[in-house]
Amino acid sequence: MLVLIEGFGLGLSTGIYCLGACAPILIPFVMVESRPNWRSNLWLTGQFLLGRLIAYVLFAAGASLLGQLASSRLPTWLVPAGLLLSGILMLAYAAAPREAWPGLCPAVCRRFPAARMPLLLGFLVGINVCPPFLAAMTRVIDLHHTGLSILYFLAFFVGTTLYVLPVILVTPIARIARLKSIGWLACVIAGTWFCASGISGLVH
Amino acid sequence: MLFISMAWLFVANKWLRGLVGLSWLNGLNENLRNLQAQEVPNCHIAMGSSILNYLYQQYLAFQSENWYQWGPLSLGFLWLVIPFLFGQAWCSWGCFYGGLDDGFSRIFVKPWIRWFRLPGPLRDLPAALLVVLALTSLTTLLPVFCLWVCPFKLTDGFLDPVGNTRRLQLAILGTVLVVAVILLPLLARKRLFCGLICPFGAWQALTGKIHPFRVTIDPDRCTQCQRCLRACPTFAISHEELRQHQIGPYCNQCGECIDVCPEVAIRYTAFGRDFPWMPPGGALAEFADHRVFALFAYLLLGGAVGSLCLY
Repeated sequence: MLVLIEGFGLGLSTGIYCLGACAPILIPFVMVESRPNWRSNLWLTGQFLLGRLIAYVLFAAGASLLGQLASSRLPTWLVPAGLLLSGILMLAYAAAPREAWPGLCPAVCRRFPAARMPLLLGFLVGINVCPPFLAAMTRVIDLHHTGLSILYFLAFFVGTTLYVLPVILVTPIARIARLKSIGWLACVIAGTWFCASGISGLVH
Repeated sequence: MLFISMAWLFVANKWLRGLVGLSWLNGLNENLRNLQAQEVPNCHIAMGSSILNYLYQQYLAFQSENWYQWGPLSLGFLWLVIPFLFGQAWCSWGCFYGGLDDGFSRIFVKPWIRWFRLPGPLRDLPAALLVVLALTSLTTLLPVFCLWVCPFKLTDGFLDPVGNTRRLQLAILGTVLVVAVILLPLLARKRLFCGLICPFGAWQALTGKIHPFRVTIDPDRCTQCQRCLRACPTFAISHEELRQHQIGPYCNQCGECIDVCPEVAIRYTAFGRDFPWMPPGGALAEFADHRVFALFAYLLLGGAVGSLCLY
């Protein structure tokens, strides 16, 4: 129980930083994909969060194993590689109109439809290590217990999610056609930014 | 002329302040320290794109109970007052970038490049930049616009090409300066930085709506001759919008379209209606003009600045 409270407390107190890490990816995407009804936007955000949750659980398990191996070091290429992948995904999303995808790349699109994009983006955001995430990871490395580590990260996820959920407030303005165009351009710019950050991190 | 002169005086001030004092390197370092110490710069253009950092900084100041740190709040308040006082007209009557862009775009009488229409969604580039810059600034806790886009960093900062990152920054800032502030305004007679890059323009498109001063097309008089579309220096009038007798949201209220309209179909209004005490053709009609409006706005701004200084 203490682990749950601790994880939730950490997420709640540092969630603003998590929002900072997620928002440049999530908001342009939501601007393009949002529909003027709450249910579809909730579904969209839910998929994104699910992707993030999967990344968190995998990280929790990995970090716990690291702790059990008495090691507390993550590979240094992981964060920039995550940034680079996020950037490439955003650029690919912006470059390829979804209507044209089935004609251009039927084999790829069957396995990788646009509908799964939020899940994948959420996952990539999840592995973009931000300061609160590092704090949570340091804690679970000390726990030396896989189950408790996953519980800790689940609670941490719930705490931080409270900051991410307000993106669905875009729903009332989703009718504005200009919003999609702004979101699309934002995807291109943010994708380029993430790619540059990722490459810079990998080179250094 | 006043507007363009103000812009050049601002640039000259930025250069001379460093050169005359013979300590511009110190100024440079201080500038960099400020930028990299998570502080939101005291510049109206950076305010929009760093608004989330600014709010976060104030949140920390409130929590710390350090009243000294509340200073930016006053200045930020002042910058937020500008959209309410000037509306979108600030970009054409007060902003130094607007003045530079305007100055270069007026050097040649006729454009060397005839560029009247923007392709597709490019018109929304400033808004997209505003969104991304605001979010990445929050992510990095740095004013990303100032570090990566603002060519004014070439005047009193960033002149130390140390490291690849700084060289890349310099290359981007130089490119923005040469292409968007000098070359394209010169050749196309368009204010490219204001129309295509400036995130504060997009900020004004949103917040400036509160201000009643508008540019309006009279459907009964408009003959669709498209002179306004060609004259608009910020691409604020598109073919589609003109067909519906509308001005785009990124209008800077410079008045170029009013000057070129042969049918006098375009005029300044309050929320799209004629000023009740200054009807067209009336004795006071000539006062329904941007110059009168600008005078009042500057007086109010002066009052706000003066009261803050006294405070």
